[in-house]
Amino acid sequence: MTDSPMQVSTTITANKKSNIIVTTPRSIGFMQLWRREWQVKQQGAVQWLYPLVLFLVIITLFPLAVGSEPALLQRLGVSAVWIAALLSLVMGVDGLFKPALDNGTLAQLVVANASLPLWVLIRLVIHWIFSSGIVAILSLLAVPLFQLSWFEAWILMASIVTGSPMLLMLSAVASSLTLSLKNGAVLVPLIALPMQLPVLIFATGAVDLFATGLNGLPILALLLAGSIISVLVMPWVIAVTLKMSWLN
Amino acid sequence: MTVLDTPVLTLDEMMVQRGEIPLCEGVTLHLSAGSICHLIGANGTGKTTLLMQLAGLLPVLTGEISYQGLSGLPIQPLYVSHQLGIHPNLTVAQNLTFLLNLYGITPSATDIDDALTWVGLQGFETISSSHLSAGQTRRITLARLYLLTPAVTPLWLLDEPFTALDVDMVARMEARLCDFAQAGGSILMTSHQAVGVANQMLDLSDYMV
Repeated sequence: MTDSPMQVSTTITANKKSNIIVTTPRSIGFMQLWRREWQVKQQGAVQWLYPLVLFLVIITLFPLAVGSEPALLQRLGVSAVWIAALLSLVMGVDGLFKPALDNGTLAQLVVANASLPLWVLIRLVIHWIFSSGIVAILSLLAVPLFQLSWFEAWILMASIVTGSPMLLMLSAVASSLTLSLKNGAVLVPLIALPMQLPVLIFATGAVDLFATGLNGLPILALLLAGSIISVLVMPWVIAVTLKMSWLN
Repeated sequence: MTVLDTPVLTLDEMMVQRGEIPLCEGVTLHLSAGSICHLIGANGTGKTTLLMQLAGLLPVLTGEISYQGLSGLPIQPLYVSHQLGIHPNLTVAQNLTFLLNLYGITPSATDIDDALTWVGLQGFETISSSHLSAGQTRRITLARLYLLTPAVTPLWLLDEPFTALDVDMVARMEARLCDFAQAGGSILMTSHQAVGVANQMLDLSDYMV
């Protein structure tokens, strides 16, 4: 992250006839937005650690409650890890945009003519790294906890990596829609979860196919395609919704 | 003061409204380079709403607005409101850098140092903003005023900039507003205190619905 040599290069053109001064505005760049959002995450570890701890607690408690029957644990492992991943993702999204609205960052971005879709994209990418990205790595714990084979665990990890961006984007849309409501955070899972269910079904289905020796790759490819499309489209949708936050 | 009489912002028969509710009708204002306009009116007359509309946060549905000779809202004005744009996770210097980056400025360490000294926060660069008092947090946002020139933001929209500031700081702020206006900037500000440096006044009570 190097400092870009951006200096004030605002040009002032004075029109002699009408005597009107016109300034050409310069907006914030990608690296500066990225650095800021990264610092916010990095220096607020407590906020993003909670959902990860929740994920760990669920996948640790599950085998303890089910008992130590290997065949049963192996059957339940993939679904249990996926449900835990989904819950931890849903739990983490209430802080996506609300603080930015409350502390005035969003207003400053809009007034300063910054690219709101770009900011949304950067914020969501960084949020993904610190939530589902880490969850995907932690999901390898299913090997000791649920006696999954390493092959199944890698497929499980791949299914989380390909499916979770779409889950996050759906939650983010729900979160931006409920932004101007007082208790909007409660509504986010209610709006997002029904749309997220297909992802859960496809992802666990893909791992099951691989486990029974069939080819689950098309399903993973489908999830990845959905994720790519939502990453490309949703930031624009969210940006439009965010601009309406003051109209209540 | 040759820059005076250069039109910067013109409001013509504008309606101040929050959503569906109209607050003021037919607001007319001419702001030139060098103007410091004090926006007054009782609570609820729509001072904050007017500034939010000009900042582009709320839509303007009725009336004509022109900025720098073109029809439309001001582009990239400075907007200071009750919500400061300060993130508690970031340090004082990081917050100030971001707020300046928004206007295409990459401040040097000396710039940050000077601006923070001006607001009385020297030595606080690496302190987390969550450890500061309400007045000190406001000062981070106001430190921007020290570095922004009319070449970057010709128009400042300030909503109660003097809230939570001590007498000494208010005096320094007024001097800075004066300097900015002399350099060719325009200011539209609300304040419940008297603003000694204002050379124009707009009373929204006259336009109430």
